Amino acid sequence: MPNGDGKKVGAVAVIGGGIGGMQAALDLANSGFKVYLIESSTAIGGHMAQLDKTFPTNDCSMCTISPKLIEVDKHENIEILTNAELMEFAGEPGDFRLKVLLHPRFVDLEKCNACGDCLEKCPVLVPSEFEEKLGERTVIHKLYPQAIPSPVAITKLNRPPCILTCPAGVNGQAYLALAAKGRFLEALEVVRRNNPFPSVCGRVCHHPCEFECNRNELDEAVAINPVKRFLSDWGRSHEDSPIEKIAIDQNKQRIAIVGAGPAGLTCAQDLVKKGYPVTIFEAEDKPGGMMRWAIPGYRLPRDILDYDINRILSLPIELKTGVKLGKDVTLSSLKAQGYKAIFLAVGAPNSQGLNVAGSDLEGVWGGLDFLKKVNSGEKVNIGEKVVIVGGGNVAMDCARVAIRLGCKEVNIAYRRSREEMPASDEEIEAAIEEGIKFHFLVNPTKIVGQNGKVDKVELIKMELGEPDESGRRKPIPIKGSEFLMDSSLVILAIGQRAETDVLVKEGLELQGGWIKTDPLTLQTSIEGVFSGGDVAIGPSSVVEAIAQGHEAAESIERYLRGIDLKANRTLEKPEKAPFPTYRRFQKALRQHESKRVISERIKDFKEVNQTLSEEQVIAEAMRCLQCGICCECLACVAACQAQAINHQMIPETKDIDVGAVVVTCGFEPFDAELRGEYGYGRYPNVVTALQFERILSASGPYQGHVVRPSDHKEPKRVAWVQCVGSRDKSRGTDYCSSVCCMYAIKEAIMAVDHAPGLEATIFYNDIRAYGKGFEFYYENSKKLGVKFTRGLISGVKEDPKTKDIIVRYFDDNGLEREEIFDMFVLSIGLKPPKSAITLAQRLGIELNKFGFVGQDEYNPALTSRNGVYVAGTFEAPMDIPETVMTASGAASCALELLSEARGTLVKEKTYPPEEDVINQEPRIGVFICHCGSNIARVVDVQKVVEYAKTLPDVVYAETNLYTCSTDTQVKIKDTIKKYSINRVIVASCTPRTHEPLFQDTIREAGLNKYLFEMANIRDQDSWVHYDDPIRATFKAMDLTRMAVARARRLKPLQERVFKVQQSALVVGGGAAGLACALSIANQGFDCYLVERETELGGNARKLKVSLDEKAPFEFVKSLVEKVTKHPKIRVFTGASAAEVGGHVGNFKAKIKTNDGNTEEVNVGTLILATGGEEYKPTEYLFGQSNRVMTLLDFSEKFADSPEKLKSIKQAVFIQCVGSREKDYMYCSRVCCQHAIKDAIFIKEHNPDAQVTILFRDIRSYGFHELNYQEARDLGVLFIRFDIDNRPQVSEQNGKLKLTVTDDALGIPLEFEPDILILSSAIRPRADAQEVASLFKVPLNPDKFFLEAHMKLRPLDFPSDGIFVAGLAHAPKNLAESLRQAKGAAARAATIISKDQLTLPAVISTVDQELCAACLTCVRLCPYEVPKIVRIEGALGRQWAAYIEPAQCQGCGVCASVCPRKAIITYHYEDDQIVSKVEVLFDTEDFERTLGWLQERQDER
Amino acid sequence: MRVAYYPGCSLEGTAKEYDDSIRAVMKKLGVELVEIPDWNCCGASSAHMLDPEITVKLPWRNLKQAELLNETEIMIPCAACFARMKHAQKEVTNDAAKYGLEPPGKNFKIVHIHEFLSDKEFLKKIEAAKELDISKLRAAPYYGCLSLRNPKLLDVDVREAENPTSMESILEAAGATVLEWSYKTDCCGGNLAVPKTNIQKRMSQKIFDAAMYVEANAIVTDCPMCQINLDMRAEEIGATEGKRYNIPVLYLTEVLALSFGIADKLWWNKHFVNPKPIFAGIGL
Repeated sequence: MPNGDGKKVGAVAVIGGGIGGMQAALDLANSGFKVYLIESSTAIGGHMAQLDKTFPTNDCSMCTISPKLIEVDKHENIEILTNAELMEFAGEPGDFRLKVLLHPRFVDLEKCNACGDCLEKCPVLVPSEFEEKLGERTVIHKLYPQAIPSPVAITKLNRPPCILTCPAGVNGQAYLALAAKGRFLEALEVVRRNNPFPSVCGRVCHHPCEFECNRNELDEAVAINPVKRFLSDWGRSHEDSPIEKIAIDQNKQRIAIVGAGPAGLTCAQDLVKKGYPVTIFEAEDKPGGMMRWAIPGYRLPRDILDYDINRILSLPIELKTGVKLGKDVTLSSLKAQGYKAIFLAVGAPNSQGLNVAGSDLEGVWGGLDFLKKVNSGEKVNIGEKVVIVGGGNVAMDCARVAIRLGCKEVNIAYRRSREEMPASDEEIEAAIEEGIKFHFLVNPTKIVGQNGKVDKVELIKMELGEPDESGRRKPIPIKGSEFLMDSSLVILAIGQRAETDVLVKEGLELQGGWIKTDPLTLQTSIEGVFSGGDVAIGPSSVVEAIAQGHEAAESIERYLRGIDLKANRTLEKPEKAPFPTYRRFQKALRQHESKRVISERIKDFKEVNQTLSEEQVIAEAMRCLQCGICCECLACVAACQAQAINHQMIPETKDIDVGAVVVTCGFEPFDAELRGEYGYGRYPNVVTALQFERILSASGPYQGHVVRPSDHKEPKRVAWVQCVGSRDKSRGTDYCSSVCCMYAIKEAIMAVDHAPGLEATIFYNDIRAYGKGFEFYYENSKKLGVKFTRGLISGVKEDPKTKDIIVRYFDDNGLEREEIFDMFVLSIGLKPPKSAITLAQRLGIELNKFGFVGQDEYNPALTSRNGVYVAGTFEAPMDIPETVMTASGAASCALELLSEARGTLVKEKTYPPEEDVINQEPRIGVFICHCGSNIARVVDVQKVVEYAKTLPDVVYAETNLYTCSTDTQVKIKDTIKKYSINRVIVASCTPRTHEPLFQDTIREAGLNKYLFEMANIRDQDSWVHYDDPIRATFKAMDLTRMAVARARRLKPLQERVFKVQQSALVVGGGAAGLACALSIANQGFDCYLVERETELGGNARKLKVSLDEKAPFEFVKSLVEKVTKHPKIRVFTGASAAEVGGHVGNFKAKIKTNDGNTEEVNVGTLILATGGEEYKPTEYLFGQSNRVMTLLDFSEKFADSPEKLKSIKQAVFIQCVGSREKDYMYCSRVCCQHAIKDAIFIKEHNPDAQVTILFRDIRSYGFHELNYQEARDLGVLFIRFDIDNRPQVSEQNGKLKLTVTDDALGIPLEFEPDILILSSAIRPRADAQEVASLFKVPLNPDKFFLEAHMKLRPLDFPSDGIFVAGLAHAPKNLAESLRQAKGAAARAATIISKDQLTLPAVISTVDQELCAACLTCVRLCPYEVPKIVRIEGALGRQWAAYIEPAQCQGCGVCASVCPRKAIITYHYEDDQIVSKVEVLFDTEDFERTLGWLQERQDER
Repeated sequence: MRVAYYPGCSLEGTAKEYDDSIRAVMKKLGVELVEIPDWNCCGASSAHMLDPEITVKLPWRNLKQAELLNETEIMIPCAACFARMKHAQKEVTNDAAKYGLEPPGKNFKIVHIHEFLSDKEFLKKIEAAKELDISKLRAAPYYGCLSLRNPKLLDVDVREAENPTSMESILEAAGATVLEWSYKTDCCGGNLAVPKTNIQKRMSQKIFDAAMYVEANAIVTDCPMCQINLDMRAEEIGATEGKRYNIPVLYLTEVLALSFGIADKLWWNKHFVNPKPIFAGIGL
């Protein structure tokens, strides 16, 4: 519930953890707000983390994003919620409540240290989403190596049908997964978790799992049971797992189990494992029940049966044989003996009789009696001919036994047909093979004797009627069809019965001849007495008996402990996992067990079926589809030393209160399979551009080698095709995806770079290189050999032998050509994520027809719901810098809304006072990390500890399983206190991720954080030298020794704190400057706005043409009004900045005002929005003919009086005037969209006018594409010309004549335009260089301001505290300027929202006495910080370098290059570095470790 | 099972062997074909190019006739007929009044033969009905275009439209060696056979070349237009190119009949490229 008190909440939820979400989160958190970063996957980073390089600078994407990931991770006020989904959203702007569902990760984020030990143990591989399915990952995984949060996660679906179908719940998927890896013993242990009879079941189970196996849909079920049999045989023939050591708790209640069949033994095992004293009473002389007495040896050899039974009886179970219920003991006698609970599992040992004449003759046997006699080794005289009545497995067993006893003719008589036969197919087939005769649809009517012995059987033929209650068709005798069959023996295998008379005598209630039990709890009618197995459920299988044994044990334990028997138990099975879709599966034949030859096997009782070979088992196990993805084998649980894995996790709901929401849920790539003509998913060498990014990436599936998927050979010829899923009305993606042209060019360049000689061709429509620096990049790519072919191809073919891709197209001369490529890359477009529709509904925001939020030209970041802001590709397709800018812009909106709540929910950490260590001798503590087994498996960490203890000043050394775990931090702090440690070393992983954590720990212990040193013995040692443990240990010692050397020389450093001027100066009063100033002021800060002209508004005042209701100039007018009226903004018009000094947080600027005076302002931040201007053309008769005008001129002339357009017969636009040519190799970006809008404007007011746009590429990116479409629909002509063959314009008699050669037709066309509109370039302001010098900021070669980083710091200058927005940065349209302006305001707020700033202590400083003012540092500083100043030195006035501490970035370049050693960089002083090198080569130390190395090698 | 059957005119003439083989195969698979009583032209010939009204009304009458039967599903072996009937059904369901027709009385499921036979149950039956080993028949399945495109009109999955796999499953179940190639949905040029024969020949030639490249010994199709167009021109195209396209173009059901051992030798006489030598070479 919103708090309702009208107060705004000082927290913001950011939905989507890609680069946009990260930027918004950081801007908000750095401006005093608590941030919840809500991410649907297991890690933040989004698509940017998948990219290889970024255009147009070719920076490594991961290298640029990874510091940001860490910054987000470490930020005190950003809480990352992964696997999170917004469920409910309520409240009002400033006070919202979110309900967020956290899907289980199955890994405890607090406990997991991301050591990765578990990954090696996971047996299941699935295609990696991160690798776009080109590579595989384990089920427990990290999305990518640098993923934040770093803990691993498990992917799980519903449980597979094999597990859910198995009565005992044996985990088929898991043991198959382990078996596929050859991990047979582990697999066997998985079987034994639920099934104590793996050898038995592996042979005789009726395997319902295989009937339900999802693989049946593809080809044939996995041979689950034969694999189980192999595992049991493997365990017997190899070293089986040891018998569990169990201590019986004699204080626990005693339990009696009657019957040592599978149910009884299972129950006994379960209970004894829980510590209960258990006694089994068995009527026969041996345990095993029907497994022993009914199943013949050729199916289940006795030694194998005994093996399983003996393993159970090796547990402390008391077995009393020869004790029969009702004879030797009774229920009451057992109770009297002190048994508190009883499990009756006495089976159904009696054969069903047949009520026909002669059934009492000698030679009429019950099936079970017959089998028992044979199985117990008694001699049976079988005779010549035998008739077996029945169609179940017992009948089959009797028949096959009879054959083996030497009977000449074995007949089976069954009253229904083959289809209704209950015996398993395998048994029936084996019986047929062995020569047993089947007689279907017959039933005995009489047994005819001779001399009191069986001689013949009279049978009657049957026919099938309607189905009976069992669902089978009822057999009906055919009158008069009786016939006789010779027989020396008749075996009745028609059913089994329990010993009902005994049970009744015991007082048990029966049902249908079986003990009546509760199906869930197995409770009988007598309290404390439970029953299961055949006696309770009727004749069933071994595995069902096992299942009953487990359930009985559960009930008995509950009963004895007084727990509700039914709570949390159900007979309902959860939903089964369907046929999995995470991969395409190929058909593969099932492996079959071999069988002994028939003629041999019928001679004896040796086992018929032979076990699968090891190779067969692995091949078979690999057929498993892994339907549940995670198989729950629990190998990860065993591997995790931090005990972080919990397979029982369930979804959680979290309630969050926030004041505003920023949605940056990004995009999903277009599904390339929807363009089937390109063969994606069908031809292996057709890949998506995102897959190609992974192919290029050094961390990708091919380690950065450009190879094609089909054969992993280097491609020689690669083609890209553009607009796959963009500009495509038939797929509902009419818009342009804005980024594909550039990424395709980049990929082509990188491919050529990776594999010199590679030919790269891009098939395209228009190359849309419209962003900053893009055109130059495009042109340069041609020089690097990338070939561009205009025209999209309609489909491709594959050469089925080579897997090459055949492309047919028309070349520049219009000739049809066929070309063969090794790889074909689809430049797939951007779509909103599918989940965005639900998200938008829950947030109550509207989406456009494509599912994006869509852009509001004048109100960046706004959605249809106040307080919910949008940024990045969810708003519209855009590239990374724009995503970052709009993310800052969305943050600005939230900052404005919530300004009053700033700082109310952020945490600030307090620390104890620092101990003064200056005068203390170094006392060093060394903490060596196992990193689970990551380090310790290779490096002998104990040895390193011993060694560290011998090093100078080391007073303490120890190892820890995970040095970064929370409990170890506590331990480190205690150790520091206990041993008065004043320098701390951790030898573990990388300082990149972990140094801040340990620095914080020692600071909490009262030590200055610069007294910490780290040795990387994992990434740089155990990982790279995993195959050489001895020398890796040696290296770990070296690294530790070096760390100690430096630690002895570490000094505490103080971070300087200074007061921030909480105000801003915006230079430039155009649209960008106005919007920026307004946003800053709305956030509650004072703002100065300086404009050189007397009027505010800039270029936008001239933008009057609009297809919407409101023209840009009207919007700017309202902006001017808001700014001038704002109490927090002071506007200087006709003024300019004259002098600028100071640094971030504290700038001093002199403003020359319109009255000639100078006024000084003191501000924390500067924003440059100094604008640009329209190029005044010198070509195409501009200025010579009044019919020729620029776009702005057109707007001025016609926007207010469109009626003038009525007289226009012909209007022609020429694009790229002054853009994309020598000396101006950039695209002015806005001209295509403006020309198209103007063309539509003309058509709207004069539909008869012939309007023509002469262009080179139409660059209507994003939703501007829709206007391009509309213009074409309205009949605007688009004619392409070549830059080398420009239109010619002349004037004769006041009439213009224009000639242009149509690029497609190759013929000249002539026009006589009434007006000729030149889409002229945007140029930087003439004084750009001056402004740059004044503010000491850089320009690019085109004289636009150069930002700090083109991708991730698009609004920042390299100097802290100065930001840029608008045309001064690069050409852009009004909407984009406004977005940047908003973004710059947020960037500025991260500084001026703080009342003080801390300067880093690691900076460089000049010893000015030593300085020779040689300028080396000035020239080489990447941040242009050192300056030469005049000082009063020992030798009088002299020049020396000066480094402003507030500007220094601490990179150390100056210190390393200074020829006089006059510069030092704190914390990296020369002696600190040199000492490391010295000890590395110190002979004594070297020999000491070498001696140890020798010793170890000798030991080997 | 029973299904309503619309043979169409081709199956009474040029594709008689298609009709015969369908009837034989269906009988073997336990399907009773119930021919739509008094059916008429589907409108595929010239009607649909000339008159948008007749193009709907002709097939619509067939659907109306089918309403006289008890069936809910209509199986159509000719790709053109299939497309026309789907078109009419959509148009009239959408706006019957536009054509002055009654709204449909029955919402038939109209299926093409490859869709019908690729049902899982049928695949099992086909596998069970195998009598002869046809694994040496290297079949290049060829769909052409009319039974797949336009996917929206024909209710075909867009992925299937470019890469259908139903004939593959059927042929595999029947025991043939099924070849993977890129030309299975390419146009055979049938519609240009009369007005622009040279273009049609070029298009057909590509298909022959591609089939020869994967060493197919038969092209297997379920479209009577493709069959006649390819089969009839094979020799002529080969002659122009100095090649011999000695590759028979068989109907899907002819191959099934081969596998079931019920193929009628008379069918082969209707083929321009005589398949008998090929069969002899692979022991059939």
